[in-house]
Amino acid sequence: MVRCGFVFGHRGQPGHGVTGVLADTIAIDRIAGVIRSFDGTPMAYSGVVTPETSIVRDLRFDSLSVMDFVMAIETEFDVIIPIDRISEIETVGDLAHRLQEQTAGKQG
Amino acid sequence: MLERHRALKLASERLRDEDGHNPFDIAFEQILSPTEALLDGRRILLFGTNNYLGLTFDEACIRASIAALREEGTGTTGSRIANGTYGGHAALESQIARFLDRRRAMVFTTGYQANVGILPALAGRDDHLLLDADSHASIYDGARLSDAQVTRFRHNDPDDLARRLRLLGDRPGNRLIVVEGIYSMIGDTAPLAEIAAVKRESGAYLLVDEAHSLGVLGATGRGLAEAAGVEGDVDFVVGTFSKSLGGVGGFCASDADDFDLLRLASRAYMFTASIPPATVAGVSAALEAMIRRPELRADLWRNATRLHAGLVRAGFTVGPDIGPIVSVVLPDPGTAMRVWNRLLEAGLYTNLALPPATPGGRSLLRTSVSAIHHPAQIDRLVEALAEIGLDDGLLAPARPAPIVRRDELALVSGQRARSA
Repeated sequence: MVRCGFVFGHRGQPGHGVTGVLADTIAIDRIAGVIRSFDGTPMAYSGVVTPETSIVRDLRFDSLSVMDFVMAIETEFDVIIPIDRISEIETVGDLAHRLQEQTAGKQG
Repeated sequence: MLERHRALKLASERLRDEDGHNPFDIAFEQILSPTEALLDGRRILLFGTNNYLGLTFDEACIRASIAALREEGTGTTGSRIANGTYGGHAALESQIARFLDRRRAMVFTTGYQANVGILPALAGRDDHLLLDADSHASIYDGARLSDAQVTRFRHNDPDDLARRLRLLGDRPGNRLIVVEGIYSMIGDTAPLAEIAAVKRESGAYLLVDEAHSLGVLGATGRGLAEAAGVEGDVDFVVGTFSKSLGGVGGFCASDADDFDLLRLASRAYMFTASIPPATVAGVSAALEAMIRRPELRADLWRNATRLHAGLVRAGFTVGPDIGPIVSVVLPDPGTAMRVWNRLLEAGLYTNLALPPATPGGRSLLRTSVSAIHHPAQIDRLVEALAEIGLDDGLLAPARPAPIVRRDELALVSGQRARSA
């Protein structure tokens, strides 16, 4: 698992921006991989996955599919995302940041 | 304010526009027995209840209920912690504890309230709840009400559970794993022996909700924990009175020290009226009947096996486990609605389960059997479904029937051991 840069992923923290962006890109690629292979995707999402891609609006997940999708992400990244934090995650970018926090927590 | 339910409104209008009945809007004119009712003036067979032992019309249960009604009145009008505990409530708790071989039991007004009451009382701010992904709404709601961190693990996957426990590492707080004996949508059972092994290694606590498995699994009907031989690893047993026991209510039983403290820590126990005396008496009599008459469970399994084998032979895709709940997987909600309605026209009531309320977003025709169904009635259901299936293009015509395996038929009184 790629670890470089994951420790510094917090938004709005000056001086950590560059490593943060690199980490985001790597995470977003892996998230896109999960989206493509995810069984529950109602339409095969053929669009480009960007930090702005909305999990509910663009990927068209209903409330249960969001939870199943998060579970697939948890397996891919070997993290836990508590259920009550899921509503804070609107976009793929939010998810990437959340994952960095988690991985940072593991290392720390 | 109801604007936000726009999507529900659209979905329900779509249901009403279809020909036939709306499954959410069925009102039986008369209930004739645990397995028959009147709808639109016609007799229909009930294959969509949770009346597993058929005890809702049992003479002894009705007699006990009537006696309590006459002696103690129509309701307690109070909470368990105020004026709402009668002798019957306390006696029922002792009866349950004795039956489950636990030190203490507490009775809630519904099974839903048992989960919504017990989970927040057990798990606090620093604790961690790990729920099976297919958990019932009452478990999710109870978890949400608690201050604990909640995570769901892949359905019936002890490895994913172990992974999450490992990730929690040595963070402070207790871990409570929550699983069910039989899952209500597909009717599959938890791999409880493996889950118990994970629990032992991790030092977590384990709660098993035996809602659909009490009276159904285990040599004496104590549930999946008994059947899997791991009662010693289960810290909290939750159950309901509204299925095998034919009433309404719920309970939690445990050997935990100071268990009775939970009576002052469970809001859903305290801030609600207690079960009416007639229901307490009926449930108590049903529990006694269940204990005294293991043949009820044998009959239930005979019927469950017959239904499962029949549907498999007809070519339907059903769940992995034989049990009183047999769900047929259908390709989409529209088909499921159509099949459900055509079955109802044929005089057979079943349940419909549609996404997003179903695991994996599947469309399910959920059927369930009772101990008192006649084999001929089960054959009728299979025939009708097969006919509809052929007609609707769901089944290929003239399939050679697969040989039904002996081990599918040779079940002993509800005893189903899961290999460790």
